[in-house]
Amino acid sequence: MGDRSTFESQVSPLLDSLYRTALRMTKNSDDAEDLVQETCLKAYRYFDRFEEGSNLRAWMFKILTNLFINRYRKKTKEPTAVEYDEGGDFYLYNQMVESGAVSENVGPEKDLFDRMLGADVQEAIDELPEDFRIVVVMAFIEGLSYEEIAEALDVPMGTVKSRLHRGRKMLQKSLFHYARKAGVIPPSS
Amino acid sequence: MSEHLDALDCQAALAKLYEYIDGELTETDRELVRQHLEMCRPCLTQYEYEELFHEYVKRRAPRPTASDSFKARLSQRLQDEANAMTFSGSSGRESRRQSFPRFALAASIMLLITVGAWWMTQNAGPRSCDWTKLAMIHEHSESVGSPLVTASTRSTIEAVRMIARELQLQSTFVPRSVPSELVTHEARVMPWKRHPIGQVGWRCPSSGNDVSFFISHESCMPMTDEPLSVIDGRSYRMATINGYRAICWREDAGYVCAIMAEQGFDTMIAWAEQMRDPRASF
Repeated sequence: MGDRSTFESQVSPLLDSLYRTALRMTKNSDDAEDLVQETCLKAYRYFDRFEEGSNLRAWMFKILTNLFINRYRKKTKEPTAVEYDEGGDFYLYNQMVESGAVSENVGPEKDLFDRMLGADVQEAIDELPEDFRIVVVMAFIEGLSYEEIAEALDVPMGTVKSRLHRGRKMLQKSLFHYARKAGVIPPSS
Repeated sequence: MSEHLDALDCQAALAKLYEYIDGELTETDRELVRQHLEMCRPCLTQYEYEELFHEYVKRRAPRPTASDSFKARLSQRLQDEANAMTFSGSSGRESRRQSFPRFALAASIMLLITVGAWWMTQNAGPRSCDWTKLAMIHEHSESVGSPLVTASTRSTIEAVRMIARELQLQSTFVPRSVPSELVTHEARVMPWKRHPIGQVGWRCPSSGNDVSFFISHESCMPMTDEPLSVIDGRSYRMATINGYRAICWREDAGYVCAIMAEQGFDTMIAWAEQMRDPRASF
């Protein structure tokens, strides 16, 4: 049973991580703050049900995700700006090799993506469909493990893996799409 | 452990590539992938490409923090909530001192090391542990930007991993062989409540620091708000445990935590001894 007198000190190191995730969920800092506040209040109220010694971060992220789904998620799906035909596995990598942008014998240059794609990562993440955005944010930005994400979203590990897998491909595709539109890289044939 | 693992072909290795990059494979699978990448230039290139993309996304994604004013408001709101609960009489249970779960007690004392090996859980299956308390005992405000895993820590990790492989934990434990360049203190087993813990102290020859390491149950996970480092498919976390910096990673049998401790090994043994007696106070 969680000890409420230590709640704040236990949760405090998680706040920034929760806030960033809430921000990518709601895309609005006021809503993100509200979401985090509600999450903490709910966690506080239910802290006596938290099994001391189990994973607090996963538990908090679970509360956050549930609150987001129930209260903040827009009822209508947002239109996606980019067509998500992801192509086969490693489709973009294969393209890069075929076009000579990456040499199979030597490996990619360290500044490959910085040069080609610039810095629009946040926008590309925000454009991802919600289910994929959430796992990408939790895994890549907040460093949660697959196990923690599975617990937070209450889905099987296989679902986490597959969403991350597809999320990565979508991100690559979307970033390359922007770079082509901006004329940074030539349009694909 | 067999040296002749069935090698992976390209398709099989690439199927596990993302999990390798994310540090989510078991020791065995990780090693299989690593071996394939060592031998296969095209797959290695693909790995480097995906790893580079992964790193690029993490690096370019902004990491804002919640504002101080928000945190202050939240703190106040929690206090209001606590007061409201007091008045409605629901705080009775909170003030009762719970006996600390095994790990939390270990945490508040900390340190420790143990040496690694495979330890058996008893009784009722896996217990998870909360390392949050460990990290939380000291709030640290170290500067961001210092490398998480440097060359010197990597060799430490390698040496610790080597010891973990060499040692085998049973009810009493006898180290089989230890790399000759390392000086080991006495190694011993310390049953900690339901979980036997093996312990080894080791002095790092280059720094002179005593290092202890410890293997937790497989479901335990070091919790820290620091980002993960993934090197060669193995994920490392840094954490601060009772004020000491620790490097943690996962082996098949559980999580290993290597702590550079300035205190001598004897002090840590004494703490560990005291850990066994829940009535001990500090």
